[in-house]
Amino acid sequence: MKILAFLFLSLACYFSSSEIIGLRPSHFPKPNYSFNSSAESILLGRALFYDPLLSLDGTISCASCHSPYNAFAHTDHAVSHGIDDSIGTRNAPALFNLAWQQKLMWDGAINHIDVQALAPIVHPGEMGESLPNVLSKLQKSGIYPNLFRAAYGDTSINSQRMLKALSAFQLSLVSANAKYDRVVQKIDSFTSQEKVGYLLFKSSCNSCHTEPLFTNHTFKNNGLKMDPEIKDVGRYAVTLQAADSFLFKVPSLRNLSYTYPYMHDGRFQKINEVLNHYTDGIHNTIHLSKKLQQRIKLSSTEKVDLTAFLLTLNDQEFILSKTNKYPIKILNPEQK
Amino acid sequence: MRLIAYIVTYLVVISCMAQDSITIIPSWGADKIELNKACGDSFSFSKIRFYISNVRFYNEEINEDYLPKKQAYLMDISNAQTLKIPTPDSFHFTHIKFTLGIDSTTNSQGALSDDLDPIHGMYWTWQSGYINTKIEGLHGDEKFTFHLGGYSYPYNASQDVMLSLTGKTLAFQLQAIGTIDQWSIMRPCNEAVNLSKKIAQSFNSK
Repeated sequence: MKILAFLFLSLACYFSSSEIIGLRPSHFPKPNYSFNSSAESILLGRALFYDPLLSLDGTISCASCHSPYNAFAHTDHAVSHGIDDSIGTRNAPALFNLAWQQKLMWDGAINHIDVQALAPIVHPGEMGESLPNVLSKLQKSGIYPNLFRAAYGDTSINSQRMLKALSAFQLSLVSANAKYDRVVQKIDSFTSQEKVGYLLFKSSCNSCHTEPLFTNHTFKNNGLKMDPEIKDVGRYAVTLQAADSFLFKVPSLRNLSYTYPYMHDGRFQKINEVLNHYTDGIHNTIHLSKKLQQRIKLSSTEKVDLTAFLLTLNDQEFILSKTNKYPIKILNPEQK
Repeated sequence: MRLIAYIVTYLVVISCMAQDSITIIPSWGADKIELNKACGDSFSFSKIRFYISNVRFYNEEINEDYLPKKQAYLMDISNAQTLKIPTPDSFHFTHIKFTLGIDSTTNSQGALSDDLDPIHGMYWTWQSGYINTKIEGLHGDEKFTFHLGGYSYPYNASQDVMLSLTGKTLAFQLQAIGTIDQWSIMRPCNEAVNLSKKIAQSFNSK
């Protein structure tokens, strides 16, 4: 009897263990990062993500540019804003399904999710802070020593622990419950218009925005004319290889209604503008993606059908998820 | 009580002395470099920091080797203690192998700790990767700044070095910085790889 009780308890512990959080959806490929973070380190990472303490003057948090209601992108600004009203050069990318990404940022400058947060924290036009200063603020804070103890067993605060907690939270942001996903899992079905749109998608878009993540994680030139003021050379700035000139990461199309404006510089406000770009606005240079060298033809009706399909990639449950939101009880316990 | 304190101190001193090590000496020709003091043709250095990693000592004759547990040593000329690689005292090595800088595998492992903690200012934040070597100073009135790094093809700047050991010190010769025609390298690029090669080839054992 005791043995049975023990077995039952261990099973219960196993299934309630935090490793279940962010489990790989059955129709997704194998991720590049593991989901073995504890619930406590995810919570610590979540507090850090929403805490403006990470910035020099305490005004900017990660969530300032990566809002949960926008699938962790930002819809007000075409490009990111930082401390002292500084304005960046690129659109804040949406954050979800990061466990399937390898290189981060529009140009792939960051090679591992752990070290991604270093870039905005120390960038003078974003958070403008230094790593030693952030750690010292965390050590002096009333809340973090306890959160670090819960996550790591003791109150010691160092950069590795902080960065890995931020990774843990961001890796837990899995978006896989859009209508598309339910159709794949055979618990829902497309309307006839969505079906037509899906076929159009497969013939015109899927080679780069590949199912089921809706990106193939490569860098491409999609025929955007260079902004003459920003003069962004894309991945070339990282690799200095001519073949990488004006290439930017192929973003996922999931949650696209929440993540406008579109493109690396946020130049398009509406899905329709994006579709018009692909059919009529391609700027043909030697850098242009091979797949776009032949013009994509879509009638206006087909664009409407394609859009109907694209809207099935919106995951409302993801943007409303309570476990992804500002942790008010931790960061602002007095407020009700 | 005092006697015990003396004995303890004595034992501590003895044990410290017994800890053998190889010392890296940043040098300009035959001279040891000292910070902010002139050397060579009007060069002076304000900063010399570098990583030595993947250290392996070995003895060719008896075919034995020793790998220190520590993966990477961040060495800083301003702190003499950091310039030492501890070795076991009972072993006679004929050779040492190491990497000047941080290899590409380590560069892709995310947030690391100890000497590889990004807090030491030897990590680029705008683009992932360790700065293998930081050398800064003046040539006459002109500033020079060399932040050498890069972990991926074709700009992999870390350099494998293999030397036969003839003494307990390795001179890290920096005269090569006088042979290149630019005074600032601060990103992975061809020049960073070339200068890294030059300085890595100039290690010698004394």
